[in-house]
Amino acid sequence: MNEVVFEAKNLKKHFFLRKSLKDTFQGKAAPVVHAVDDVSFTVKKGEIVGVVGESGCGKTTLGRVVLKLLEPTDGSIVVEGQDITKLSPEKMKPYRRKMQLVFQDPFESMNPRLDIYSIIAEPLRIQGLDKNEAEVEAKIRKTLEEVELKPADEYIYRYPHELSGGQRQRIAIARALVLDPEFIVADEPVSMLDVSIRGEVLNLMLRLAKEKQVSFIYITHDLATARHICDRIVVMYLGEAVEQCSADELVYSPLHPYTKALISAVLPPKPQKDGIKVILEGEVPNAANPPSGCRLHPRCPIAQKICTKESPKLKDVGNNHLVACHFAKK
Amino acid sequence: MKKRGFWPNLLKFSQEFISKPQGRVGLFMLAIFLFVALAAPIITKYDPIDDLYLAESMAKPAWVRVFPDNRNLPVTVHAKLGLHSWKTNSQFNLKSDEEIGENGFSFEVSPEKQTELLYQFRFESDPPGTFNFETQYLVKAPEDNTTTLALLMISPNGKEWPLWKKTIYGSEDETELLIDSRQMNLKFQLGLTMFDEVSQKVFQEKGNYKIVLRASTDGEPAMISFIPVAVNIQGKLHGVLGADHMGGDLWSQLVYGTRISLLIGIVAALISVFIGTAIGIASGYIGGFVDEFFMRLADVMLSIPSMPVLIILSALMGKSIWNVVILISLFSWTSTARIVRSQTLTLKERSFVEAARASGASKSYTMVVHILPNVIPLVFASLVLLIPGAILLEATLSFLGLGDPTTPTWGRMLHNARSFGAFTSGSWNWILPPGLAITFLSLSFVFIGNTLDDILNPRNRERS
Repeated sequence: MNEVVFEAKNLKKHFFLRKSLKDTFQGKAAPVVHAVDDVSFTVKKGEIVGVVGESGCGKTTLGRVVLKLLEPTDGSIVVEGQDITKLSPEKMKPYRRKMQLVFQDPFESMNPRLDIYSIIAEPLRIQGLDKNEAEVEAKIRKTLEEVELKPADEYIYRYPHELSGGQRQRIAIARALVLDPEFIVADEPVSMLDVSIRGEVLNLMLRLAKEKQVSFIYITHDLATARHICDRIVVMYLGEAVEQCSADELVYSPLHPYTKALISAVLPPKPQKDGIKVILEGEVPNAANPPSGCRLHPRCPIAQKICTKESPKLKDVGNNHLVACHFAKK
Repeated sequence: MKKRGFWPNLLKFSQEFISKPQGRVGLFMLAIFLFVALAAPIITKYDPIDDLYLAESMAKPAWVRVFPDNRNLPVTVHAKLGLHSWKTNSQFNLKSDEEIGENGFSFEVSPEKQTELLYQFRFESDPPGTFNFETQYLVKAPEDNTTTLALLMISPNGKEWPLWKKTIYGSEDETELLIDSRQMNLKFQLGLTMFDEVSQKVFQEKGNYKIVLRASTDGEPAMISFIPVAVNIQGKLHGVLGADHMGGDLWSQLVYGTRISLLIGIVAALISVFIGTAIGIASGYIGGFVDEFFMRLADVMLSIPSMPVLIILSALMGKSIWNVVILISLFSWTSTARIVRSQTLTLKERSFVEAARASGASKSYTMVVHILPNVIPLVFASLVLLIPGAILLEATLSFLGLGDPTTPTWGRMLHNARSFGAFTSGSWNWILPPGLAITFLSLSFVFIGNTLDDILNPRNRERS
């Protein structure tokens, strides 16, 4: 449980926008979107790490950068002790086997012209593991059963459009699992599913983490589900990680005002008067032009003068609880 | 045991296609053209290029006789008088003889009685311009025999016109015989002046005409063989669509033109779609410099007026239909490339492409396995829509005289019609059919293409 399978160190991803003609004449620099700014975290074997934040905070970009589907602007990605940040696509290929991806939209994530067999066999074929067709088929059946699509015969030659959203998402997980990866980036895997099916898919992820020791990076905007399955949670705001600690600690003693606001926004099963009530005002600022200092300060209820000038560093307040706020105290 | 969804999908697709009126009409029209193209040798017996002087220059179709004005115009007659055509006096036996040629016949002639082969036909119109007889004969007789052969026509009033007479001593090898009504010596032989027209005199009356082949010999009996006698009377009315300036058959030109138009249209469209798809996928998926290069190239190709360039190039490259095909393909790949590129751009962002990338798929793998099958329906629709363009371009080039003069195409028909005065003489039978054929063939492809586009284009389809 303590073996680190993945480590992100100071990851940055900036998107450079096109300069307008006016800006060119005025000699201004091209606008840059800071989608991911200096995010670090580690994933241990069999651990589920949640990345939580509102829309546009850069969590999906983070997922893509982690898998090197987008080249990071700065920082490094370490898989099993090996830095893969600068590897060429050819040399990346064996590492691709260790890291897989599950998408948000189960209707978009499969080629409509391929049947389930071909969809799940594809990663094996790409990785050149399809020498023996009987083995491939056995592997596909085993994987289908692992994601609780039983009996496999009933699904194996069907087409994606013949399946429900939940079934498709299981197929997507099966496709990720078929290579026996070390960790899977699950990008909002349940947000497009009916509430009744979400639990099943989340429990499937939990079971896979326990039984197969597969680590997950679970990207979501839903703190409730994150708390349900995650061991650790990273909270992101405008491209920055603002708080990082174990799931229970985050929910019961959040330190960052933004985390507090997120938790306040979750509807409690039993409405109660007390509890944390932090409500943020205004909109998320433009990521191409973030506020100076602490990025939350225009919306923060406890902001002081220092917040507008100095960007708070991520600091450990004990028990591996990291938080980036000038006023955070245990 | 593997259930593949191809055939059920195809069935569903064809049902959907047939359910649309436009698709039905387009398919029906195309089926007719395809039938005409495939069955061309059955539909018409003339060669569109080599068979000339079948009728008088610019003859009208035969069926215009139903109009009172045309009732007396002479109709073209092409007959081959073989074994079974002739009536004979029963003194000798007429039998088949393949030795001299196909469907040949022979008979024995003895000194006792001269023999006569007779063919009778009705002719009920004004005299034709010209006529001719064409055959080959062979005589086998002892050395000292004298054999006389003659061919004559007998008018309804009983007047005999000795068109040909020959005296043969002993045997004679295969000899060609051509009697043309315009020959000067024939005129003198018939006692006419050089300014008379034989056909005017011979066919003066209406009624039953007889063609008679007469033979006599002295001494021993002689064997005489003929190949079927070809009788050609070049009238002012001819066939289904009449004749062009050289007496060539317009109907056969139209029928064989269907083949060429379909061939050129489909091959040119296939080539340009192939180029367009490859370029579209490559520039859409790879992007960057490749994209920039091909799209600017496409812009250039689009902004160059293609007609003048095609005219110059086809003049430089020479007259061949394959040059035309290549030129047309070079100028029509751009639209496909643009459509495919834009579709590739959206496909590229779809999650399944990213999933393949996350598994380590190379660019070429992704393009072939994920992008190509998903743009094929679109490509198919654009293929069908490119065909009429190619057909029209080919017709245009041929019309301008830049096509291959030895290939029967609709454009060439129109070119000849324009060059040889069909427009001024009001030869609607020469101008309208190729024009309408081009229109309807193009229209059938446009109908089919529109229907395909309706069904296959993702823009018009809900997510399935």
